[in-house]
Amino acid sequence: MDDYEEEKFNFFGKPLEQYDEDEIPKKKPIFVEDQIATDSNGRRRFHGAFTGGFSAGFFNTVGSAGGWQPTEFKSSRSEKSVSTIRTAEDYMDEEDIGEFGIAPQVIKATKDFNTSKKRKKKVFSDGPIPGVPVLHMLIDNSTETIGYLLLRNIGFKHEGTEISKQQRVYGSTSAKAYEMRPSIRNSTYKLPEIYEEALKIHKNNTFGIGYKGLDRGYASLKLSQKNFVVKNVKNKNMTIGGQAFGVGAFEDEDDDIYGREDIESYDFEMHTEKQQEQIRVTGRVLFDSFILSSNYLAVNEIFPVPTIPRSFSGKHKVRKSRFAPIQDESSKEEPKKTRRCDIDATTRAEALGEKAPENSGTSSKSEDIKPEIKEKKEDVAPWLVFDKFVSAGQSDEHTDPMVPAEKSSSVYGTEHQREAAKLKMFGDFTRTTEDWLPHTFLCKRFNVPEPAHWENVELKTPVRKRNLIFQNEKEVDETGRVQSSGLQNNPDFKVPHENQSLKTIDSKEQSTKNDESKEGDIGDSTPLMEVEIPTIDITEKIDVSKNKDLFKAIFFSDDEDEDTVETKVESESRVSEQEKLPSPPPTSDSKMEEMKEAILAKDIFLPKIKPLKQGILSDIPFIKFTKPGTVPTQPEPEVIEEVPQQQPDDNLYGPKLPEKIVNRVENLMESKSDDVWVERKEEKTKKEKHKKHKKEKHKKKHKHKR
Amino acid sequence: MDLQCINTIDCKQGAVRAVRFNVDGSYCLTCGSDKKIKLWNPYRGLMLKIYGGHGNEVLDAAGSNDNSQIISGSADKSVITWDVSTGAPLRRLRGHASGITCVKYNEESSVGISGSLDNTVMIWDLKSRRQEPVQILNQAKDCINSIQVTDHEILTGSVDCSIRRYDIRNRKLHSDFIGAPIMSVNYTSDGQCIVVGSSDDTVRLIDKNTGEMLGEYLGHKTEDLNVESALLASDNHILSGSVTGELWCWDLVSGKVVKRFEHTIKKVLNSVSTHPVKDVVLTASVNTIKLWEVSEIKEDS
Repeated sequence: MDDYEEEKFNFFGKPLEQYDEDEIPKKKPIFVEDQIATDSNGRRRFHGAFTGGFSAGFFNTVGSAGGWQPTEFKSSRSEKSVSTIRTAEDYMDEEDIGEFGIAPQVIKATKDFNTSKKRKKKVFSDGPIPGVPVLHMLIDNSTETIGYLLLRNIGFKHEGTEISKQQRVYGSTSAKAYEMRPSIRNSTYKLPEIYEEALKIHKNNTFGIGYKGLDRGYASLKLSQKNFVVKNVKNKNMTIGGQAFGVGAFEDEDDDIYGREDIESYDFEMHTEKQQEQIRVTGRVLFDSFILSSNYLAVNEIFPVPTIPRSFSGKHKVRKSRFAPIQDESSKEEPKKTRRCDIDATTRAEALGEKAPENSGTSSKSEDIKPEIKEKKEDVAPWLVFDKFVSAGQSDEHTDPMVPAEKSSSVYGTEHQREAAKLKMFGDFTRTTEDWLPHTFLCKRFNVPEPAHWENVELKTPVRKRNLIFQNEKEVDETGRVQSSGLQNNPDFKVPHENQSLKTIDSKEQSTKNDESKEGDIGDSTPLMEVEIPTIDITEKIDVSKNKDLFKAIFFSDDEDEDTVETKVESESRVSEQEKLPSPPPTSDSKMEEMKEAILAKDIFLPKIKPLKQGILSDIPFIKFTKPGTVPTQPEPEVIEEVPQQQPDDNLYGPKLPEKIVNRVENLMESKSDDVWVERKEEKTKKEKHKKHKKEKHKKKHKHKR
Repeated sequence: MDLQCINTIDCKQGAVRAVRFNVDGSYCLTCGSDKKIKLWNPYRGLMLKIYGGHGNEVLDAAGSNDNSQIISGSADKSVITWDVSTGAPLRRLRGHASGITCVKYNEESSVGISGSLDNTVMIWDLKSRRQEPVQILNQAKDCINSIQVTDHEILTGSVDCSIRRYDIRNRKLHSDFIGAPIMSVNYTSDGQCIVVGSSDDTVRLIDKNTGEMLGEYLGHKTEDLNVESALLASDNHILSGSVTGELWCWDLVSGKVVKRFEHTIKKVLNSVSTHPVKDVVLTASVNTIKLWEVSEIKEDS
């Protein structure tokens, strides 16, 4: 029944050729994981966990052919390190440099034999004078304007040129304002095809014509994202796809999660080619491609310059408020601007502090200035030359040893020194000695005693300061001396010693150190010193009139009247040493004792610096020196003793001593002890009163003040 | 008096700018224009060490009192202290504005004193790490050519024709105008006189305290070059180099020329150094140094 079966089948197509199973070798299915990438030599590429990018390593080896072993940095004095400039080619292997690599080495023509039509920009070297060399610009082809050159660069073909090479005009570029030849203006240009499409779109950027820029993200859905190059070759779209980076040979690219969708990728029309052609241009065509647009550009609104009112002066008037009246400008004076011709040479000389030049009236101003300047220069020049700064005859860093050094022409030493040296008279004439201060550190190193102060080693005479301590102590001394004669011994106080010492100090002091209390007996202090004065009881009547300020300080009370104090002041200022004391009010003895103690406790011997209201010499009775015997006598209502007025002795220096002291001293010397004692008793009572009164007065006075 | 040349050493340093004995006279230092300092045993002619580190010619060097350090000054404006045994630079002191012409230690070698072409003398503290000078002496009006240091004085000779003696103890500066640019200054052994070599072809003996000239020694030619003069330890003779390559020797008292000794004919003999104790002299000329010793004058029969 074979025939029956064969007749029923309809055969379609061409049957396959019969093949022998044994003849053709079977190809095993190669799985993905078995597919490995090898290079031209069969060596494995993409080692390890390779996921893309460049393959690392030198065929999975490290440290061969010197390329991957890190070189040790070595630099020594004998062999300095060489700085090697590494290029990308160092890290590439043959595959990269080969035809299909990333940096294929191609044989190219050199610059001189380069036949590319591209106009290459002339690079001008940035030497000391950057930019286009001026010489290049001097002579140029004036008919080849920039516009002409640009269009020619684009590819414009000049139609109907009347300008031939012979008519090329050459001139300097400075002549810009020349008229264009009518032939140039009227000639038409043919736009190359490549710009037709680009120029159809209204251009609102400053890129070049037809510029598209980098691709806006390879994540857009369009196929063009993956295109490496899109080329239109004879209306056939030929795309060259692929990716040069990122993914390995066997892996699919991951979805790009960073890509941004572009709405433009959805903007496409379905139209036929015929429809494309129907886009017609209406309106007037300019340059074969430009037409007048329907949208007019916004006219730039020009704002005119505001009109300035006439009253505007341009000066800022400060006003407190908007409604305040404008300050009158005329009242303010502008700073006086002295013009150059207003000043005379003499006034200028005065201002500068120099001597006025002569003939100032006749000669012109400039001449006046010049001699001044010249004088100045002459004054200044000599010390400049001879001191520190000398004009360099030869530079410091002259490296050529064969150049002989120029002799310096400076002259040293003074005229006298040079003469002396010539005459060989060295010694006094040639030697100068100055003070020089070694640094303390230097002294240390040289084991030499250091100077006390780095700054103050100048030989200064020590400034004599007023020894106020001694001044005050001298007051105390006075008081002590007032009661010198016939006083009780007071073993508690070692007063005599102090008094003695004070007296020695006094003798040294100058007579100028007077103050209100009469210390006029400085000159007499020496004779007094020799006298053995018995112990002085300080509690005894302290002469308040002498130490007014002292008591003021101690008894700062207002019991005393000002008037009385003032009268005292007046009396003090006069010559007389005698007290003028108004009758003191009676006070109790207890108070007296208190006061005594207070005085003692107050440490009279402590120095109290008194501010002198009057001058130092105010209390010196100079009248005495001139006219002896003219001492005005004042009534002494409560004079303790009747002291006969004594004629001032011419031999005595200084103002007159208080009578009492003189008397007492004399009495002592004469050893009229009995009389003295008697007198003292009398004094005591009266003086006590006197003292009390004075204190009260002082107190009163203070009260007034308050 | 006669000087015998015992040894001649070719230093191979270019030009020898200065030759100096160390503190006890057993070694010597040569400063070369090849920027190196060499330490020699001059008696045997052996080079012991080279000290390199300066940026320009080395113009002067000095050894410390314990022979452990060397101080050197160079035209590269820096002063370097070296460790003698290792040869390493210890300190580099920069402060001068111009090349340094002379360096000296003080007696205890705790201070280094350098004089320079910038008219100043700078005193450096070598014990501390201070980078600035302790004191700067800027009284001179021209380059400093020579310095000497005693226990309490610093003596400088300058091109401004004056020698200046800084008395640290008395805090005084005595400057003596000599009349010609000064090339070298030396103290006599008793410290009472100063030997001043100047560029007017004269060496003078100046009394330290009065400034008077006690002696004048002429005959040699120095022209403009920096030629050193020295004093033999015995204080009887004065030595000086010269442009003609001769070592001139005068009797100190009489001032007469005793003898002239040749180092290198027609080449300047620029540096002279005397042994601190013995009558031994080192001279340097061009690229060689010569060691001279006093020998008794052979009496002619």
